[in-house]
Amino acid sequence: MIVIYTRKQTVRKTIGAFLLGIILIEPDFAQAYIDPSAGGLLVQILLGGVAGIGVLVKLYWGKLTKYFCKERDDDT
Amino acid sequence: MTPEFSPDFVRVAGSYRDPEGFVFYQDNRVFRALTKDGLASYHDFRQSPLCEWLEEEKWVTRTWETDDAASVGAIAAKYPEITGIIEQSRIPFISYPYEWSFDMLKDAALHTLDLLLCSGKYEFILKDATAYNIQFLGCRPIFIDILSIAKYVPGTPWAGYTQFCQQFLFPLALTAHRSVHFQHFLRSYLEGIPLHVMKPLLGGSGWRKAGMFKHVILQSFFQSGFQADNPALKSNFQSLKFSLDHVNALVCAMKKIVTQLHQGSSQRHWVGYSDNRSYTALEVEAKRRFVEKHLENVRPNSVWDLGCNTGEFSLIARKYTPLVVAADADPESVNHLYRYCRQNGISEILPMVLDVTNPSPGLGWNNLARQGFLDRGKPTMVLMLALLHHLCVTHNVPFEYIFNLLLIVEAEYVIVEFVPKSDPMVKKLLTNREDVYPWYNLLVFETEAFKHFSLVDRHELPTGKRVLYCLQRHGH
Repeated sequence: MIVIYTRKQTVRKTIGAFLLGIILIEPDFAQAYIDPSAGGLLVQILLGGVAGIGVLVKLYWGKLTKYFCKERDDDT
Repeated sequence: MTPEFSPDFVRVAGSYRDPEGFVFYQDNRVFRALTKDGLASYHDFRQSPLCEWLEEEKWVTRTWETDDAASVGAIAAKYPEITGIIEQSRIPFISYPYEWSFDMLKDAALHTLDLLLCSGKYEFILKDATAYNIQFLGCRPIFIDILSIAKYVPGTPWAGYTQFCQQFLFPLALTAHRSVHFQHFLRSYLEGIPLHVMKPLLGGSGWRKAGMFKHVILQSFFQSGFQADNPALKSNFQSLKFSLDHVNALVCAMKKIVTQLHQGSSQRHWVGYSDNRSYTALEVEAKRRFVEKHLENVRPNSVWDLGCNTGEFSLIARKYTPLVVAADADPESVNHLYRYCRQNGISEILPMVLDVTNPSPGLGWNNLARQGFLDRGKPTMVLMLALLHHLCVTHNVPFEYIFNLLLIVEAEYVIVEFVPKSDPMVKKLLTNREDVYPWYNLLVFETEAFKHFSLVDRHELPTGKRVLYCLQRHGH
């Protein structure tokens, strides 16, 4: 099925793709309320070997799909 | 009848975080009041061979259950959650991480890591990794928070990892890699240097140093992407099933990084001071003899050597007293003294990084959680050698204020050296500043001194410039 985007949607998708690139380094603005151990837990997950890396990929994949779903919800 | 509190009961103001109990002083002794869970945890530890080994090696402070039923009753009447009390041996003088030199913090860090590795062998772990759990007995670090040693819960990670980074690794790395002394940072950040502060301080190329990419850059990156209460984080994390092997691997890796950190060299202005001073070997000898004579006469319970430099006179004082608090504002001089004491197994000297013009204040909750330096003890004798001109000329402190300080700390004896304006060191201080110190002379000094102290002995050094005084507080 061919999807035709309006100009506005195209701009939004482009911005979305750009944001996708930086999403992993975008700071969370609610940092003041973050439990300081979040980063520590993730470092330990990373150091947990192959299984740990798998879990990390899963976590970030979840983050990306969440972002896409949000984008799709906005479009509808 | 409700048992009465001892009038000497003082709950330690900083002891409020641990849900399993709190620390209190009574009759000059230290106790821990424990809840039911705390007592069970303590029994687990007490009955394990780990406890015996750690106490024998003096890695942890010695503890024992008190059989003073009246005390337990009195505490339990006021704090119903308390079911037991243990006593622990007292540390002669409390010091805090922001008063330690580089190698003191490094040794405290390694002590924490070694304790973790050792505990792991017996299926125990440290619940946290705060630097405030370490104290110094002379130049030996010792772990004081027994309740922090608990049974390892299978599947859990090292809970104190981030705390260890912030309280030990980051301050040490800051000094080692950026040549910035950590003491003032730790005084401001009581929980340790936060990630968002450490990352920019590390600088552009700092990530290339051992461990910095992983523990600063990556941790900061992860920190900004997830919140700790994120349900995905929790569920995925549980699936990993951590073990003590994982914890030990991380602790070993951390130990390797910490071991490799060394204090960068600077101009070492004060460290070379004793080699570059303005007076002759004859004067130095006369000064040593004067100080030693009065230490031997008084045999003080404790001595504060203020402006100790690399501790030349602290090393003399330790022969006549069980405790010398050797304080200087220069972290490198203090580190020099600490290393010397550690290498030679000297246990009477506690080196501290401390500026007499700005001593550590009370900090934390209500400014009481960490005691101010001046509230931590009463020295029998204070040494102020080659210090007066720095206080008066460099910092504009009047003589009156200096003697007030001695009254505040209730020093019974003072050995103080007056350095006149004609001395080359004072001339040097006055080179680029206006001489607004007409009062800086022997007459005004003696007038102020004798308002509160009486003269025990006075000695002019051979060249007749510097004058040594041994003073005794009125009424003693």
